[in-house]
Amino acid sequence: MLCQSCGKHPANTHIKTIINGELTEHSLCAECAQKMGYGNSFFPSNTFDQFFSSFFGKNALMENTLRCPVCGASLSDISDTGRVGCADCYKTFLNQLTPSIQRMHGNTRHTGKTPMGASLRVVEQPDKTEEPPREKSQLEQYQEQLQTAIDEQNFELAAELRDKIKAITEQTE
Amino acid sequence: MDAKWFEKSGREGDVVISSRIRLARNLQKIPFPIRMNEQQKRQVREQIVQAAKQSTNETLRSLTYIDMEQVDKVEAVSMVENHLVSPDFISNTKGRGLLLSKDNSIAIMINEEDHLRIQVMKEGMDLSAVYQLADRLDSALNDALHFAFDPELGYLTQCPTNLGTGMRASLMLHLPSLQQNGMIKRISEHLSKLGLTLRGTYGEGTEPVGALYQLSNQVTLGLSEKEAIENLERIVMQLVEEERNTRKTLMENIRRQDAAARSLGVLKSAKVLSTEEFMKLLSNVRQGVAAGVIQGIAFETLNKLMIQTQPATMMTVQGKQLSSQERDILRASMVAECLK
Repeated sequence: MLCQSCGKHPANTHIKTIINGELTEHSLCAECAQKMGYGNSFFPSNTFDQFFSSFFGKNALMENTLRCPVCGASLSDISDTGRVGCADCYKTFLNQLTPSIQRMHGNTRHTGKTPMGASLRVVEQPDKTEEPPREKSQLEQYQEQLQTAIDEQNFELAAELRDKIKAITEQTE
Repeated sequence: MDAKWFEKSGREGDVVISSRIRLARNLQKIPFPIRMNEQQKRQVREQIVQAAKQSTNETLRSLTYIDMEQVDKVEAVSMVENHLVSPDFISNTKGRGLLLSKDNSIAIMINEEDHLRIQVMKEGMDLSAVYQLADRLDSALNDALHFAFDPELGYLTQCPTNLGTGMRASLMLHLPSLQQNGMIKRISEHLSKLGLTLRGTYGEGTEPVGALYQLSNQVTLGLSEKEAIENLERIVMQLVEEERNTRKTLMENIRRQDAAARSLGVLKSAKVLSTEEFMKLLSNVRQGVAAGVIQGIAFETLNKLMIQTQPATMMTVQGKQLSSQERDILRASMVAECLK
């Protein structure tokens, strides 16, 4: 299908809008989508296809068989839709997702509100105090070790650690 | 009945029509909506509705729950016209729900792209106040729902573009003068380099109908809510000043003054008005009012008309289907009555 705006390039962005009381979908090419403000300036080219394709590097085979233990999504499910399957996918596929996240936001580290306490003080809120630093729990230690294991591609150790983490989280639930 | 937020006008109301904050939140250990079946969606919806009903937060408890599966198509479109929900949200209503405040300033979409999209809207420029309310609602909901969060990546969302704060702050702007002198394209390119997006609110072309634009932040990771809001407010004030200066120069021209005055004349006396024509004329009148060329018309009157005369909203209020021509006739009479 060709872009409904320029009629030249293939459409890959589908935008739903209301026109004259009716729900309508129009399809745009990456360039026109960008012009109309539907693109993301942080992607060199703004289609998800291209920008997620960086996943499929050297370990394509391994990455295709890896599935998220919670929702069952594979990396190709994520790259096909540009949508992540569940919160745990971010752990399972962290290494593969990080370059794209970096490109999107120019950053990979959150600053701002945490569920434990608001960090925004547009107006001073003296009743909210900082959380004191605490010792790392067993779970956090395992999670860090898991990350290192994945980074080092030590998948046997990673599997072992994942089981341990699973056991702890199941216990606490 | 409570006046709706979009029937009012607020700070910097000559340019800034409204402020909106949207927070994307998800539950832990449950797939995101893209990987949920209908039954899971209904369960999550029930869990969220119960959390709101039983919350210690009075505002949350007072919200009305709407099962989107029970809402007819015209009414659903009207909700989009009223800026309460997204077009995507009504394209498939299975397992979706909405928690809505009486004045329509709070609208929590359930199972849109994320499990929750907490939205707060207000007239004029007031992002900080809007954020504070959204923040309180978020914290109160989190007490019961424990949102998915990672210390590194922040709030975890279905689309990685929302990671971090999960916050999209946006301002609806009326920029007729910058549109007329052809500055918009360059400004828009400049803004995108600053991590902001400027897009048309109505219409699909590069020249949005009625010169209405939405300016929002693009980056959500690595920038706190406070920083993102301050950044947006600082840049929007430059844009507001630019629109005002350009307007001043443009409206010194008798031709422009004439266009505004004639537009008002047509709005007051037309018998048939299509949405598009109405939006164009309204934009000219709004520009005339802002420049002081037209007097005795308040911005809130124009804001209210803009929403009330949208096609599906007229049909919802009338409680029946109207043909395109019937709508154009009704619109003309509503506009004439209101501007009398």
